[in-house]
Amino acid sequence: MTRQQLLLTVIIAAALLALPLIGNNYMLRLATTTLMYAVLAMAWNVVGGFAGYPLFGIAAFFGLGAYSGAVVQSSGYPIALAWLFAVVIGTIFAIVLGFILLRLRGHAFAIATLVIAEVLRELTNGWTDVTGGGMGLNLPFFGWSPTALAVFFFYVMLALAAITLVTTWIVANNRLGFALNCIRQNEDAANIVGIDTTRYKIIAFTLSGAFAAAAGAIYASWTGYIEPSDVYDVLFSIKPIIMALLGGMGTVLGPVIGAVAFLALDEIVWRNFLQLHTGVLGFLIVVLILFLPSGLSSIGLHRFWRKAASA
Amino acid sequence: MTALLQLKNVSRSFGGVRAIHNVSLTLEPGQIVGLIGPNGAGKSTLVNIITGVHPASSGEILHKGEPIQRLKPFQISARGIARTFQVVQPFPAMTVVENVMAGAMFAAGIASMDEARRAAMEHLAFTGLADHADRPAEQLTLAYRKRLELAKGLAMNPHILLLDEVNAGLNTAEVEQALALIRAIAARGISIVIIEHLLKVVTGLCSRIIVLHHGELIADDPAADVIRDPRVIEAYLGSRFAERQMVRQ
Repeated sequence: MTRQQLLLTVIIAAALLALPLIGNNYMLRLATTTLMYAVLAMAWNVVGGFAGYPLFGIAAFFGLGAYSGAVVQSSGYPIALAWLFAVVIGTIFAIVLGFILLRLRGHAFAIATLVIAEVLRELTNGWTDVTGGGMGLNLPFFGWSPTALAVFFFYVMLALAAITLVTTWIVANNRLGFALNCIRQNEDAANIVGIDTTRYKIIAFTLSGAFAAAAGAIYASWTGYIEPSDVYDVLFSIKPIIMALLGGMGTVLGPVIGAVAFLALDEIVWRNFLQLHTGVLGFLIVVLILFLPSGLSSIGLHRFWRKAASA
Repeated sequence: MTALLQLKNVSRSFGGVRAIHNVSLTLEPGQIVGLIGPNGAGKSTLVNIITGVHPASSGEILHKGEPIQRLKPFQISARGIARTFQVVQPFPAMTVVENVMAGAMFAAGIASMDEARRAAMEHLAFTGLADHADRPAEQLTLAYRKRLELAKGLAMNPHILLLDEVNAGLNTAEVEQALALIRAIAARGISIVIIEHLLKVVTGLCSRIIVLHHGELIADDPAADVIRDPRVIEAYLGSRFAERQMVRQ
């Protein structure tokens, strides 16, 4: 890391940590949402970006995490235990599912993962005793002020995003990242050079599942009420992909940059084109991805830094 | 003494097609063996069977006396059996040195990435690719890509190297260089099985030649005998030509 990069990192970190002092609840809510999507995009990136498997199933892990955490929390257990439980469930589910689904490649894998969230949604709907079915699930109220809640969940989501980012960085600079990179480019050749492709793919899939489940559990506690059609929404599968594409697939910071850019665009477009909002947003994303296929992080940052350094 | 590699009655079918039928052979340490046969004879399939890409339908494969026919390709690589592909299989977006590092890190099991890079650079120097270490693999010419396959195979620290048409598509000068390289590899004590269409290459390089035809082993003899074997001539050129050869002899 150069001195400039270190400086930038410190500034961003300080600004994020100080945000509750500066911003109002609305800004905090926006920032928390952004951090949550950054986690989901980074979770997607491990399988979709590093290993190159078209994962359309983040919503499944997100929803499963939300319900696992919510059920435990509404039974009166401490919130930290609920989140931990959600991560454990998400991890186990990802290992089992990965073992089955990672035999598929390409379109077949994409469709299979897309269906998982729908199956879980129906199961959640049906298991009324535990999940409340279509009525949804209310989580115990904290009794805190709205501001205290907003600050608390902002910091929790910030911590999760930081852990996910560090994990992504470690993966990218490790044997695991190297192996996933090989698998993405040529899986048969990867196997022949001695890479246990199944094992590395399952590890990647499990990381994706665990982080998405954690985000889901925190989301459930944060909103205080969840229902199947909300947390298993297919948009939780699609948006992280668009964000990773927008920021730069298979890079460490790309998904974060993509999440920030996507939600900033979303906010700006929504304010200015209330009626045509989704259409305009979709058009902008198509244009961006067409002209920047490697994502926003591919814009000459290196050149920028060199200029900044020589100035 | 147990053979380095032994195939016992190995067969493999794809649907109703018998790609390899009842093949038995042994490989001793330090040998360079040529594997020849007409197109579709099952040469590449045999390599795929040995390396676990297409497991044998029946039969047994022993590596140093231990059965390996149920192992996955990555496990077989880790045992020291490396291969190259007829159609080169690089990791296109990675640099040349990273391609070679993959073999060093996983099949040869070098834990540290720096160490793997050092080992990879040595293999690149040996195969004459050191100047191209930091170029993306997809930018290499075919001749260099074939060498990259060799370097990657060597990085896997093998004692058996299976070469599937490493000379196909190369010009005469490039073939000469490739042959020198293969001899240098053999001089390191690595046993080599080479699939090759150019008979001149096989006879110049190999002491022993195995001939496959319609998935069956029809000859396994010293090189000089094989090229005069009527069954081999028949397999390549048809029965009428084989008869004429016989009359002349």
